Amino acid sequence: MNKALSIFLRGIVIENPLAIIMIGLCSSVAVTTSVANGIGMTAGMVFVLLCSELIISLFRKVIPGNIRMPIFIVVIAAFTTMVDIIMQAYFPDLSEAMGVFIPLIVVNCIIMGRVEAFASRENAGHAVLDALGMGVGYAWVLIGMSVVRELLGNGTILGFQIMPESYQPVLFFVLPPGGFLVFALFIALNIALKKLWLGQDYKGGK
Amino acid sequence: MPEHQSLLLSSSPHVFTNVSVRRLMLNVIIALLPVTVYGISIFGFSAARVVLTSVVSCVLFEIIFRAIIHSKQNFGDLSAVVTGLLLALILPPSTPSWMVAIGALASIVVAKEFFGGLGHNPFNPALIGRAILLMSFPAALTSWHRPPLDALGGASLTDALSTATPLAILKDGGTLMGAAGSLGTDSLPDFYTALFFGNHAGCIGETSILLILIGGVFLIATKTIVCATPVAMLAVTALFSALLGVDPLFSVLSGGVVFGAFFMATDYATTPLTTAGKVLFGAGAAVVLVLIRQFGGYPEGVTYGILMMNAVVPYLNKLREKKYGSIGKGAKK
Amino acid sequence: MNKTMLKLGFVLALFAGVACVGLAVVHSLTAEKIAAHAQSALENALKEIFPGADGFDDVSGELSSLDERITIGAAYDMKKDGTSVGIAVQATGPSYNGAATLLSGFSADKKVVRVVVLDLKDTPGLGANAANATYYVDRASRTTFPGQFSGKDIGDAFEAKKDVVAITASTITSRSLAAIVKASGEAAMVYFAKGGR
Repeated sequence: MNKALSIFLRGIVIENPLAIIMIGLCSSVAVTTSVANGIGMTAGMVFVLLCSELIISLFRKVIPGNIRMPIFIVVIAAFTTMVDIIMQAYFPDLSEAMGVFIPLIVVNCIIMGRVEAFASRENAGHAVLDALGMGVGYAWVLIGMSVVRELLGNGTILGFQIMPESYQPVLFFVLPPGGFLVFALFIALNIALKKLWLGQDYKGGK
Repeated sequence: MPEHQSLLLSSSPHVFTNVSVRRLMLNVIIALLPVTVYGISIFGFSAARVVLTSVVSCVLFEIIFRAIIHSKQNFGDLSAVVTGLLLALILPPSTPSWMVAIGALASIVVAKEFFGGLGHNPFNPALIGRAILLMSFPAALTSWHRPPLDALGGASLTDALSTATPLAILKDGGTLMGAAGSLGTDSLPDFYTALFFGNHAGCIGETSILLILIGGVFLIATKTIVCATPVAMLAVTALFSALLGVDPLFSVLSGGVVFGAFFMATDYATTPLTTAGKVLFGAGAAVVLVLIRQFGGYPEGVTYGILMMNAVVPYLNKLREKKYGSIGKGAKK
Repeated sequence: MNKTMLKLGFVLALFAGVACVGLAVVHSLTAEKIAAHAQSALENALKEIFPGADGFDDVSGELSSLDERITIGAAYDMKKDGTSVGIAVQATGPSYNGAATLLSGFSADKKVVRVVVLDLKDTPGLGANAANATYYVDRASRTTFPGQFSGKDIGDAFEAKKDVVAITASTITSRSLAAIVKASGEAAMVYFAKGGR
């Protein structure tokens, strides 16, 4: 039980996929211009991660080692396409706004990385916990970034005016350079959290 | 204190002179004084407000940030004052004070202190401040005013005085003569003279080429800067503009090229160390700025030209003129 | 060797096959909904331009753009009680940050009826304001950027910063969108000159 818990908790701060492992970054800087996009991207991403890790883990004994990569890609691509189609059907506006970044979940390093490094050698229960932990870690950084960027760069959250009417949006935050700055600040925040979390065990560096 | 602790072990340079950071910064401030005073005299109270806000907030942000991270206070070296002054001089005189403060925050905290403070910043802090403001508030940062003393004798910037800069007129498809007309001149020599003396719309410190040159010569005379970068930058701006069919003299005299060449492209921390590197730096910045003026979305490209060259400074520094202690090409291995 | 190859190929094909079946199921469940969305988006836009119309003929094949950078995607001759009330032209052209698509309505008396932005990938807060219903180029009359075209004559210049009010700091977007409306209008004129249908 203790091991299971630590697998889940690890992804949130200590091995946060975005702020510590630093993979899957292009789409995170690109889509976080609004909170709706951030939530949509997180939902799609976590769904694909969860399903792929589960399926790969269940079938890990019958997947031949030398063609595992193509099989991973087929599985991930199938789930990504499903997300894409479902979004087009039920959330057309969101699908429009996210554009090419939904299909690009296929090549998101977080999914490929977790499938290869974790799901392909652990049992299904652990794989699901890993996906959920990584998902939570991905979610708080991505949605956090989009809240900061939409609030400062547009004065709104989820389209609702939060800042007073007289607030003049600082467009820098919704433009790509602002994305990089906000992301850097979240890395710093995550390191601070990691220090708090680990206390005595913190060994410095990332 | 035990004897051995007073022995310092340090890497080069080992030669000490009485040149301190404070002295160099003081030289830059002295060199900037003529343009600052002139800017305030033609744009009036509004320009003074921008300069004061910028300098005070730069110094304050540095003190506050260093206090938060428990770092040594070093406002005594005047570098924050110089950054504040430079930032103010490349902003339009009508910039609202709170925007100036945001620019100061971006310059000092984001561009300088996040990277480790003076000497560790890869990009020119004042230009980063301006770039972030330009991105964030494109309308405010591209609204220009004719010097009020010229038209009304008053000292406030009203809508009636708003105008386009000569570069903006050209960008919108206007002609050189149209731009000349906007300064109230009807012949090219008069236009060049007007641009040279600087009683026209623009950023607070960039309009008077004459006073910038005086400041630049002072910096070269006091050996604060060397002339390689500014000369290369201005020469390539003129040559490359001429190549693309733009009047070379106009290209150099308008906008912020001369100010950028003397005061921005010569910053110690963000420009190359070798002469060859400095020449390439100036030339590269000039090429980028002319390309932006000709084909880009902005009428002026000095900010991005210099910032983009800042990014390649580590590579330019590898172009050593001579490697000390190396064996010549002819020697056997 | 050959045998392992076959085996590996078979395993991969099996996975691909199962994935295909999964996708086919999802697709069959959603295809209708996606098509309906596309259809209703178009019909809503057409209704917005010609609120009185009760039907339309698809005349997409009969219009062509005179401006080579701009392509006419579709055109609809709007009808009310069987008589034409105008034409709606969907046109795509280059703009800042990629192509933009507009649906513009024109009446037979050479006036712009209304312009609706269908697709625009632009900088939020700047060019994207062209599609923002609460961004006004003229605050007093609450005129939006596409709104200012309503009632303009097709013969006008359609030049940003001259007869078209540009979006602040987005001259390129303003210019491109105005050019798309202009090209749509010219194509519509050719259609009207032929006597419509």
